[in-house]
Amino acid sequence: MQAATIARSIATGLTAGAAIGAVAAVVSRAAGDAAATSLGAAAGTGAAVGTVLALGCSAARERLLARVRDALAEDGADARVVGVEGAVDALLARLAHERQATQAVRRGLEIDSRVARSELDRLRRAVGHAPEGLVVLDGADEVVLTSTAGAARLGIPDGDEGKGPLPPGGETDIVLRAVREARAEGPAGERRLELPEGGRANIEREITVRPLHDAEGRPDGSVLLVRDLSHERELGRMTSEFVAKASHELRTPLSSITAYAEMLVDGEAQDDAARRECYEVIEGEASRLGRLIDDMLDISRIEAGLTRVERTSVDLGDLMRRTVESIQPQAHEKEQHLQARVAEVDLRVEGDRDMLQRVIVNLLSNAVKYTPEGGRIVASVDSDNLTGSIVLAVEDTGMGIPPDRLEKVFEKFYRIENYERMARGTGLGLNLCRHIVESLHAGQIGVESELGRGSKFWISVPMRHAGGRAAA
Amino acid sequence: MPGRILVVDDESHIRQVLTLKLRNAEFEVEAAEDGEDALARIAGWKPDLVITDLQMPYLDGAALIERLAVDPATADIPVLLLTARGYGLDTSRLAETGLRDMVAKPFSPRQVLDKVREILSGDAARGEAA
Repeated sequence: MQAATIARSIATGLTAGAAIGAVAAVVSRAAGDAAATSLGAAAGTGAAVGTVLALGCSAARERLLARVRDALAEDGADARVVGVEGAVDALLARLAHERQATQAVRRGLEIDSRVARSELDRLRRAVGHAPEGLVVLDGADEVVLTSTAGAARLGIPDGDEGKGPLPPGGETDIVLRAVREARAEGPAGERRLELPEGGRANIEREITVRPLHDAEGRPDGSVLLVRDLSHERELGRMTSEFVAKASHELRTPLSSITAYAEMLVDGEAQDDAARRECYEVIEGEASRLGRLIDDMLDISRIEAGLTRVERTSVDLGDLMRRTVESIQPQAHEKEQHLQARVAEVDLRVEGDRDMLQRVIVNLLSNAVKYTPEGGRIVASVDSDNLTGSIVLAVEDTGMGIPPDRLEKVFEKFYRIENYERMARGTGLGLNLCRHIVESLHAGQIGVESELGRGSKFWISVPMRHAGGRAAA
Repeated sequence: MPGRILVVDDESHIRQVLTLKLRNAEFEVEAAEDGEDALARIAGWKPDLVITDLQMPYLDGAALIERLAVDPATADIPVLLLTARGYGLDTSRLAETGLRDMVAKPFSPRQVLDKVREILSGDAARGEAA
């Protein structure tokens, strides 16, 4: 019975009982059934061998061998005949191997579980931070996961607090009906619905619902994409406002053209001078209409990001001198003193020469238009090393701009009321300038003004273009 | 039939073309640049009819019509309004005023003259009947 005791003590630390069984078979060939049975019976529990393995200690191995030999001798078997040493070593080696394998599996499982937890965590964070309104429902149509935007747009708390059934109400009924309808359509199902302003979130929304299915194709939830339509509505409103303003601006010259043409047809212009005046009005208004259309198209192309910018090295000082020369006749006509002051430094920028020239022409012709006869206009260009920009300014002794209108002058079709008497532009010039400077050249445009004293419009353009382009 | 007409528009070309058309038709015509300017002229020169643009700086056409309606001295002056589609004019606020008719821009001077004659002859007929 000694062998059985030893075998039990051997097996106490073991988890892999099969190994003991194998040794038991080897032992049984020489030592007889009793010992084999004893070892086999002990196989399910096991411990002392584990200690030997753990220590890797040859002394312990020797002790174990001695006790096995003793046990065999007691049972009348010769340990040398049955090769107990080899069997024990094989057993120990196999156990060591299995133990390593088990540890590797456990480590693998631990890693897998950590990875799975971190993946799940990442997924939750990804959904939570997604810049879209995402809401995930489980098979019972209860909220299990939301993005911050999704929770806000459905009017439910963000994070864990929002989990569970959707708050009762008419809006929830509408959403859940769409969820059920989409699910009824199968894996390819989809429902889209619009929720009006008001409700818990107080914004107009569009919700797209898609059912989720597990690997076996059974429905097990839904995903909702909740879009905030207020930005779209605002864009629509702005477009409609722009179209209304644009059509008014287009209609004004068109009114003159049709009215004067009709006067000519009806013979209402009775002498050459009157007829000539009609023709001149038609010609002038037609060209204004053309400019208006050009400016509108240019602005909309820049806004849509469709404008090709031919970037070269442009000397803003040189460009200013030339443009001042070309505007000089208009200034002479109004007996204005127009002067260019260009600093003797490097005034080159990376930019589109034609576009920058349009900006300068616009600023200079505005100054001429809105400065009374005999006024003074100074156009200056200098470099600002602090900001790495070239600064260009047009300063006049015109009527000035009221402080509350300073920002508005860059808006489309904005006109200062008493300015309209002096000249009639397209109402788009400064808006186009802002687009060219800010959207296409990463620069800045601004105005300083004192009512009754004059205005100073300035632009600053970086000497080096940073690459890429700001959103128009 | 011909009488005094005040043309109110911030666009000088429109003022000129209507002035010429109406003067050729024997009307006496004055012109104003906006609502404020129109009220100032009417104070010293009462017209038989006002033709006004809708969109103008300072005092627009609708406000001018309302101002004319509240003053007993000018409440009886008929008004022809030059409008523009898309401006979103709420004509209900002009129900109790001198607004008689509207012509959309771009307009035909011929059509404006026809409307002017129509309004003035209607008023003349009512005047005779009264």
